[in-house]
Amino acid sequence: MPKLAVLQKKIFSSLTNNNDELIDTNYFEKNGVLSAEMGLSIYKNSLITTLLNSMRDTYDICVRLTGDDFFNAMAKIYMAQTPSYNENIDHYGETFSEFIADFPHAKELPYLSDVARLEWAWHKALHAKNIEPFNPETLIQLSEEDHPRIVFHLPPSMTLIASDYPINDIWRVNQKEYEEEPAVSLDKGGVKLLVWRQKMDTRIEILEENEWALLCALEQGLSMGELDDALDETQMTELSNLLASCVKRGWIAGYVLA
Amino acid sequence: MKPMTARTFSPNIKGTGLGLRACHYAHILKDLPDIPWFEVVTENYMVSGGMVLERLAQIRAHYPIVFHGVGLSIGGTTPLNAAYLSQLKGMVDRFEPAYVSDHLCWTSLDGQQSHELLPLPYTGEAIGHVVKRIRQVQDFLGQQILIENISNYLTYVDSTLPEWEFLNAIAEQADCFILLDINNIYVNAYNHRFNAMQYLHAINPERVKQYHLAGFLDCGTHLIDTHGAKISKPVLQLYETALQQIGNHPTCIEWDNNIPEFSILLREQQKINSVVASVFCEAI
Repeated sequence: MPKLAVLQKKIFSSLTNNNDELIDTNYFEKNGVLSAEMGLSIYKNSLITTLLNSMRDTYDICVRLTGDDFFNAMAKIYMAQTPSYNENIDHYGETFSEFIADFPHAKELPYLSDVARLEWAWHKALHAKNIEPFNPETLIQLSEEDHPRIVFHLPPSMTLIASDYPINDIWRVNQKEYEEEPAVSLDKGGVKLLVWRQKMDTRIEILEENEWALLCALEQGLSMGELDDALDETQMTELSNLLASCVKRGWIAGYVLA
Repeated sequence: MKPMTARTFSPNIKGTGLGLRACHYAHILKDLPDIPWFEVVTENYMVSGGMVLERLAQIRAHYPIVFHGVGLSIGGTTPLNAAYLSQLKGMVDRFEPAYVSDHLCWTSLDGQQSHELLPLPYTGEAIGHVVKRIRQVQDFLGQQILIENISNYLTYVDSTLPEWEFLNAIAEQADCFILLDINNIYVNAYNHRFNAMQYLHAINPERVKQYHLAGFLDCGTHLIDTHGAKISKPVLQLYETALQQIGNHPTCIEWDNNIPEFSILLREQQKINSVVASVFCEAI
């Protein structure tokens, strides 16, 4: 039998690629009721089930929308090509929405990828770093010349999502506690959303066009002096009010000087 | 060589504790049930912030806790994850668990996680390797850790020792402690056809600091350690023997799949308390 390091490489490769040919079963012996094949199969099944259950917890609206069989089959394909790199299994599945967008069998549910994005944003917000509310009075100490250099930053829990579908409604009517028939008209059109957490309260907010434009610009790291590259004339005119409103609602976490 | 343990090993827990599960947070914080301590799966709290850490802090304010890891990969052959260890140390400093434990197994390779507790061959090479890594962890944390015997479903042809000798040798040489999982001994004894009593007789009682109990799944031909059922009668009998031969140590009931209402866990806890009381003639 090979040295420990080589042995682990072979076992890991066999289990994570679900391929018995990658391991020599002569490394193991039947010592009791379990043959090498049975033992390897127990680990392979457990490995898949553990990751799948984690995916199902994170993406439970997607599970409801697709049904168990479709979701499980789709998630298993994703899992086979997406290794887990964090000891906390809750961090697994960040790129699932991108996978769904390219998954041909999910084309009949064109909103599914965006719903997955929303679910991940919610998941991320739940576990994001806690922050103290931003105190706008700290801006008073800045000189007039510093103003164009201010780069406001957004809370670490925040994700901005634009979708061509009313994914916030799809989310709402598919919650476990929603008692009516979960019907949403796709004709309602798209939506621009912000997902974030204020203290322990995770929220989905629907954004106005000008709020969206400002928050996207701030997310890109634009300074106050650069905002006119991203905002139109009307939005620039309303900038003070818009910023004040964002600060008041807790959507600004702080600032640095560029 | 003794590890450079800055923190004295001074366990402040006794009795039968329960594995803390998210679905029970609300009940625990509302009723503050009479549980002496909770065991926390460390990785579940390796997040930047938010509700789970908040809940853990609230529960910690009322109960002692122990940390039980599933991701250290102490038997792995790629370097220990420094970021993971730093995060663990930060959590230990913040929550002050009575014990820090993980499994005698390997779980990852080059950073990729299997999220499985994979077995090691019981060889001198593996002993030397694991001892070195446990010392590294203990030196970094500044305290001794507990290692748990796992349930395993593969037997390596190159193993030269029985599992209990492997466990004893590592605990002795690394100067760490043992978290003895009675259910895992039973499952392994059944699947690999060895005598569970022999395991208990052979284990060094001075190294054991905690027990685990859980339920398994009987698949007909073999048993699987699912943590998804009540503790079986033969496991309880084995536990009784462990209490008699090894001693009375804090015991945790683990239940991770098909998690029942808290009241059922309480009944399981009472059952364990009765076993302990019967062995040590204590009033419940």
